[in-house]
Amino acid sequence: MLGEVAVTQYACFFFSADIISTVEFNYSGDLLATGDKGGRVVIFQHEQESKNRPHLRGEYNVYSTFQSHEPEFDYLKSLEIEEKINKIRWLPQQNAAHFLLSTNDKTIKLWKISERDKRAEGYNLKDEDGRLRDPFRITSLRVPVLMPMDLMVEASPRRIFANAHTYHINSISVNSDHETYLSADDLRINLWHLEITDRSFNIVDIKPANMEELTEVITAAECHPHQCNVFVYSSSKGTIRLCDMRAAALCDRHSKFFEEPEDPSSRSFFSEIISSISDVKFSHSGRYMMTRDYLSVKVWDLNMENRPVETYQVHEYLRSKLCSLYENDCIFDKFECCWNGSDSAIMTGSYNNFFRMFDRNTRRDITLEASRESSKPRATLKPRKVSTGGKRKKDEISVDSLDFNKKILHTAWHPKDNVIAVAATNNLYIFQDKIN
Amino acid sequence: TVSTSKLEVWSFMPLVRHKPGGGWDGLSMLGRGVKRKWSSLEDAALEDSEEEDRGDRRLCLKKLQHYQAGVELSLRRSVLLINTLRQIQEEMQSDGTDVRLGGVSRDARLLRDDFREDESVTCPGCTEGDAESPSPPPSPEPTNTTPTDLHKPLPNAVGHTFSDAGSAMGYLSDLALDDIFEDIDTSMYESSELPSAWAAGSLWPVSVSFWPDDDDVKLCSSVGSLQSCLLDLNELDHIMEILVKS
Repeated sequence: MLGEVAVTQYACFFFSADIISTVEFNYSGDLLATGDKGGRVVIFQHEQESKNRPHLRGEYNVYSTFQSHEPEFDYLKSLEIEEKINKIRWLPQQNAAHFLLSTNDKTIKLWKISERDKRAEGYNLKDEDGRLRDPFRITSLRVPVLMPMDLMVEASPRRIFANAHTYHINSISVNSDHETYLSADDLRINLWHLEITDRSFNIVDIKPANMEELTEVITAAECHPHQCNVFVYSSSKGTIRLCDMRAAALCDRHSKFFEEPEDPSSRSFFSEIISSISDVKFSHSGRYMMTRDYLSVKVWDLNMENRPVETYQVHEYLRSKLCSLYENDCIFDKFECCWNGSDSAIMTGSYNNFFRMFDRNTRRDITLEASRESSKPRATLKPRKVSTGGKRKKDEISVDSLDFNKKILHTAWHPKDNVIAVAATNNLYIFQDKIN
Repeated sequence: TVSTSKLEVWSFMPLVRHKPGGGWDGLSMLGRGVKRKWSSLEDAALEDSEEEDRGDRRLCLKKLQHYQAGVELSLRRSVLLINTLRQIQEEMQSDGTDVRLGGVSRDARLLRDDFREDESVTCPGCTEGDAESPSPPPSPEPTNTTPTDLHKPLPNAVGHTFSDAGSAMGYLSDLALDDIFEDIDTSMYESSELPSAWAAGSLWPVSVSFWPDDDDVKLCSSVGSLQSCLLDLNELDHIMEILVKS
């Protein structure tokens, strides 16, 4: 697989006025949705391959843009509610329209995106420009005819799921039954039915009676891809709990508890902070799950709770710099991770606009950069390397030269093809595999 | 509803650098112990590891104190900071330093929904004599209080008042609505971890007591005393200015 990555080809690039806060392919991979800090959603569509350039897969072009969330003000607490889109999740397609869930800190919305390429002409009661006709002047009846028009993509909010989260929503996940979904905030997880907006079921609640006793928060949650009764949630202490909704109405007692014992030799004051899990993702197969903490990505076998089966170091060279990263707050950055379609590779972001890919079979890894300078059209991405020792080789970059403002927190992998989307602050890069 | 728009591939539009929101003090990789305004209250030398720990602890506190008015702080970040602070203090205690763990439990008060500044929270350095300040008694659950009881002033409130939002919040979260309005569900108005008083830009109600070691600096902050400390400093600066000019 990494042989293919080595010839990953820069295909297209998009710029947004706001920081991109989430990226997500739909189930077929034909659509790619991005959400940004300004509450906007931009959807890209995969165009068919053109005959002129058969060596390239089709391009992604803007399909629809809409304002999903607006800033709100909570008058009771005198606090602003950010419009930033934290997560977007697509629903499986059931008809011609596309549906997605988008959420900010407090409110989840179900959006319908539909195409219109025909309009009716020849109404009886009104003219073509919409003016009403005088009914007494109408002498004959005609049947309106559907005429083609320029394609219009409309986005309309179909459901608004509000007022169910006191704390900030960090995750939403559509269930495999395609009827329900879960939403998680720092302390609670709610289960919704897509048709019902005025109530949800609280399935996890870790809020202590006395908030002073709070030592752990929920950081991410996801439904199992095949078993609609199973979900997992991760915590700020580096643990993952798998819950079965059939066991009890309130899933405060986990079915499985995943935690890797701490390595006493690497313990520091920052151990807990860097163990905080920022993302959890099931594999497509449903047999594994992957967690991202500050320095590493871990793959867990759902049947083994006491340690992960694979651990990948994302940027181990930062371990000696934790103090500085704590000072400048970077240690609290939340990186996401993703699987490729066949679960043979995983990808996650880092600093300096670097992102990393790991091949689980060959154990090879590669570091690439998402930047305009290094991403010329039709050029091959060059692998990057960070030098940790004293001697810096040519083309290597030293740890101290890394730009910690340029962080890649959000990446997505096409569900079937070797196409990846990488969000670098307010730039979205879509890289495609060169077809040999 | 919006119409479709095509974005041309290969288009390189000029980048508009979005300045990140609050909480980013400037991302410098190197150098620890960046001097900030508050450091004028502290001793400067940070050399051995014990002082490093104190430095980390101060940094924890600084981070806990830093907030962007009007925006809710991240609960995850607060919890991680408090846990780290707790760990540092435990380590220092096991090292034999005279540590008052009451400090940590006071930090944890940050997390309470109904955090109110009505408990006697003075820091040793700011009161007369160096009296030991034990952990404050847990705020009693108000069961049959009436609204008027909750607006009593702070015992050590020096030259400040609560913001209306803060007291309103306290009112709503502490009032025994169960008794009066049994069938009304107020859980949706339950406050999150940080009272609105903070976000409204009013006082910083952190109350942490620091062990007043001889070498260590009394870094203390509490509702009234922080304000009064600052007022004193401001007055001192002002006086110095006048003296120097004359």
